[in-house]
Amino acid sequence: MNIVLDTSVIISMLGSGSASYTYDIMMYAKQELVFFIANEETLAEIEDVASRKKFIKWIAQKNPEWQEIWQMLQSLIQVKKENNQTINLNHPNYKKLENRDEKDLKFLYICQHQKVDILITQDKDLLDLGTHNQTKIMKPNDALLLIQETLSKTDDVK
Amino acid sequence: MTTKTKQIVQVKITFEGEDLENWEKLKSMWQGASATSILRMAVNGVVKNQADQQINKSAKKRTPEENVELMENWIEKGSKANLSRLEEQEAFGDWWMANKNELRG
Repeated sequence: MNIVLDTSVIISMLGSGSASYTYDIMMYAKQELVFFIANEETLAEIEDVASRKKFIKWIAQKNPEWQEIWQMLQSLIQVKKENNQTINLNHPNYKKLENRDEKDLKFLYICQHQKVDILITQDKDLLDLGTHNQTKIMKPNDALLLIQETLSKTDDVK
Repeated sequence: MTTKTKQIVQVKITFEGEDLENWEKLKSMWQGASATSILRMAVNGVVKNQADQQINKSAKKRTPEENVELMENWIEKGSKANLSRLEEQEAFGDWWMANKNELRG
């Protein structure tokens, strides 16, 4: 199962640590039961956000040890290279996002390129899309349930 | 089961107690067999193996009714923990939407 975490859920997990649903999903990734996918552009955004004063002030109150989680996450993310020229920019989702927040477009690009099963986000602009081609766009708690159900079925087959 | 394992199990349960149809299904599974099958549905895989071993050991000593009672207890506690996680998730979602432009430059 290929999974993309957008900036919002990564920031949320860094703040909440093991109390976040995304942290549970990361434990599945650690066991290689699911796989985290990113590209250079999506990772660069996290690093950019993590350097901002607003984030530093917020994270200091939420979870001063966030860097340990960030390091673990980085070790689990597979960074993919992409050729954006092959993307069909006429997809209605691109039009919708362009009007709301075009910075979210990069997450749709990677989903389209890498056969991503779930895009996990807490961003309402992305959540409102529901799906993008084969990718389900879900909140962390819903994604965790879907992953557990899918793994449970796989377990039954074995 | 150690106290630490029990705490992890309680926190990791994501089953929603309001879902009665699923609850009845889970309950019948719990009554009919070992704890393992219901645990696989309810508990995060991280602690699954450890918890399976522990629960299988103690499940043999319990009656089916005692198993159900124990699971109900876990689910009640797990649901409370889940509710608090959900609230935190929703609160973050609102915070993100209010701050994402500033955070992303």
